[in-house]
Amino acid sequence: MNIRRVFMDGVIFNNPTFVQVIGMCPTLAVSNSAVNGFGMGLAATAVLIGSNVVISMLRKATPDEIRIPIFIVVIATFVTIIEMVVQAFFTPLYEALGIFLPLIVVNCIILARAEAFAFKNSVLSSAVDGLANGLGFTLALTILGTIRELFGAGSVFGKTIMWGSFEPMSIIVQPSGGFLVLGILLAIFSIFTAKKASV
Amino acid sequence: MQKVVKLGLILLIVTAVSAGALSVTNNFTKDIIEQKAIEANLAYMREILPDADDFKVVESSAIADIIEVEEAYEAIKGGDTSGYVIKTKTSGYGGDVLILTGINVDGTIAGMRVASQSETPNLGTKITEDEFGSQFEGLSTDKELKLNEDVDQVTGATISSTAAIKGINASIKLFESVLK
Repeated sequence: MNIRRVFMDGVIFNNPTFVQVIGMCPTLAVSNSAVNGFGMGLAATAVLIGSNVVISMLRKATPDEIRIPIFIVVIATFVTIIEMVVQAFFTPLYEALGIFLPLIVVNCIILARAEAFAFKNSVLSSAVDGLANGLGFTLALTILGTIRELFGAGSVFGKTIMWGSFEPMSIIVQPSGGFLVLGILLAIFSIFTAKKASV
Repeated sequence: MQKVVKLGLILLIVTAVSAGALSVTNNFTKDIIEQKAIEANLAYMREILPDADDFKVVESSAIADIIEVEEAYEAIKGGDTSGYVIKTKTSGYGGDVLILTGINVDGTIAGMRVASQSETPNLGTKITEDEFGSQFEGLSTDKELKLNEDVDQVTGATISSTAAIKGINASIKLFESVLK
């Protein structure tokens, strides 16, 4: 398995948000500002790397019949650890992410990577796959968050950059605005990837 | 039958190891989390009552009688009580609204800070801004405050504003009935 290929797949060609379109609930819910999207992405990346590595290590000892419960236990353990660490050391992020931090447990990107990749591949490539998918997710959430924050609040990463008389479009930072921005981004991204594929 | 036992054992091992990892992490982070929570309150309390030397928790069973009240702190200045800071929890539009209300011993409101909320961005979140919060400063605690009489609500955010004033009224009630 080509490590480079695994990496590019996770970040771009098989991007969890823009290509696979999975994990939409946290994507829409926490991408209302750049820093929230970025933080959520990093938390999910940490969980993905951890769960992919452990599941890959256990893959020979895991009977097929109970693989799903084992995946869930491993994922839930990592999520809870990350939750406690974020609460202790990154309290503002913990408050901003709220319920969506523990809900990483049910983020289907993580279970999907466990089932589709880590259970069948070596520990090293599973770690790379976790990192790549996590970064792909982080990239998508940060782009989404930056655009929504820019138009919805006139700032990026908390720094005001729009001109003084700019009236923030509140709808963009609300859930309905999340759908609008995501739809436009999906369209742009698929133009880009479709061109790549036809070359 | 043997297979069932084997599967069960594997699951048992995996869950036991997980539980171990969790308890280690919990042990390690527990104190830091608690410390952070106290510090966060303390930062707000220092803003509301800047001249207090120290704050200590008010231990009274009467606090639990007012359901909105979470906890109360006594502000100490030069050995005497200079005021109280009361933390309340009320329901807003998007979830719980936690408010710290400072009350001077003479029965005036020293100020309020929203410690935590999940209201609608740019609408309900304006309850955290000074324009709304500073209206409470200096108001008397001898009667319940009313929205749009004593203070102006945030335009378009009646539920969030009501949650805020409810919390402050609960603090007033605690102050008048118990702490005073």
